[in-house]
Amino acid sequence: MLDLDAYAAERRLRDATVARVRALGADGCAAVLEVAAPLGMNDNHLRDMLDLVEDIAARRCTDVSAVLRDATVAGALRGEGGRSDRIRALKACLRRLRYPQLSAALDRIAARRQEMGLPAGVALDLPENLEGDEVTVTVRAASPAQLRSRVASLARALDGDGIDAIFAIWQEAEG
Amino acid sequence: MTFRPAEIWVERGVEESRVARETRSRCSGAPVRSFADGELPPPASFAEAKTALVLRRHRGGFLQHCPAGTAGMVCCNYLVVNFASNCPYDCSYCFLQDYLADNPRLTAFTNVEDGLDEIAGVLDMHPHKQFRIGTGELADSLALDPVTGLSRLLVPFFAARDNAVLELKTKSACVADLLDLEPRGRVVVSWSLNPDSVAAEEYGTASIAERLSAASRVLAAGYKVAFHLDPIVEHEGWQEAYDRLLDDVFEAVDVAAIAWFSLGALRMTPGLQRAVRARALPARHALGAELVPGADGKMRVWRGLRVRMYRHLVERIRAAAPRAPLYLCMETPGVWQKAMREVPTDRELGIRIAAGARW
Repeated sequence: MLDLDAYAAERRLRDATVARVRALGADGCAAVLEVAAPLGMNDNHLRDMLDLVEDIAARRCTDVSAVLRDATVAGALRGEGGRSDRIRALKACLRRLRYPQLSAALDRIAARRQEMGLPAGVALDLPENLEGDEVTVTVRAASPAQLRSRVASLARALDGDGIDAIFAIWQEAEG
Repeated sequence: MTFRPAEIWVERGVEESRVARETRSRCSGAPVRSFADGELPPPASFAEAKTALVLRRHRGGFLQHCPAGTAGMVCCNYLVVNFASNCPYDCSYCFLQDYLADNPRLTAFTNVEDGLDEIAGVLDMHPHKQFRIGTGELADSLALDPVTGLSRLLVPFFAARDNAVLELKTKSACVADLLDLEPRGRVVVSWSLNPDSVAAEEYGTASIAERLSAASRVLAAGYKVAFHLDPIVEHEGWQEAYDRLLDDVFEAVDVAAIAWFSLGALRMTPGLQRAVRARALPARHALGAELVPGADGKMRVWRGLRVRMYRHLVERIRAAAPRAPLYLCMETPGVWQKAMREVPTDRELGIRIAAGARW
């Protein structure tokens, strides 16, 4: 198996990153390499991953190797696509583990938004990480008639209770 | 745990100040060293900076507006006075790890009289205004009291004033020096509280049971008390943990003697997160909570969950202590509206909280 020094030299990892991985102990270090090496992670990738994984381990009262050998993570690593796609999938998977309640809220909001049946050309965006006071609604139109039509469709979509449910999830973690 | 300095560094020229004399007398076994301005060697680490006590003059003003009054946040018009810098305790989430990273030595300022003159000047200039002034911003208000005896200066000073309330905010049980003083309704002793599992990462502090026992003692001595659930730390089982904590508070303390409650969700700057990660201290709660960046650059638990936590705690507190003023620290008007069903002006809020100090 590739050792940390060899991987660090190959990917030109910073000393601080190497020290951080080494501080995880033999098992933690091995688990990191099992994930990082096949994906050819560079220093930035590795630091982002460590931030997430260490926080998940803190939240779950476990260690880094247990997080990285979690079935969900293994599933993300087996995904299709090239190196960048798999790194992106891994990061998304770790983020869901890092923010379980926020991720669940975003899923619920996405489902409700889908049910609202917003017309084409209309986007309803919530603040990033649901942290903020206002939604942004964007209506794109290529003509006055299209604008009128889309705004009318938007108004009909807002008549239902979908938008109330979205606000309740976003602002009060309800629903 | 009562702090005892491993050594005491005294700046040349302040040896005979009241604080220096009192400290030497109370810590007779600790080695005392002298230093001139600019000669103090930097500590090897942030943790080491907390083991020795530096006694020196404070340069510049003592009194400041509380930094929590950031633009865009509801503010309670609180003033802070810094008679010390850093803290012998080592809470995993403490902002001083980042804020004082370049100047971390645990320090008690010796020219306290200058600070009191400055406060007197402000109070005298606005005789009809009520001030709330706290010493617990860059330090724990009472953790150094067994060493410096500072409260013996502060309590009589504020007891003699009609337009100010001093808040001594602490995670200690160091109240011995307060008990034979007469606060005259002008001093509130407050405790930052967290459930035991979170308090376990408040290294060196008194246990929650010890803090509540100290609260009972100061109550018996004529002080009002206050409680800060700050930082509220989101973790699995937070609701039950905070419910148990509040049950303990209301069992230990007569609610009529509670001057105020505050609630504040854990907030961390990216710099603080880096500092916490870089240290060897276990910081499960500080790092594990679902924190996301907000408009002011600080990370907090994402808004919906934060509002849910606040609402739950507000409901519990209002049910048990309906007359105690309750406020959120460092929160936006939007979160206030959702959690408290109101957005007071800064002035209204300040007056309301100050009224809580009256018997």
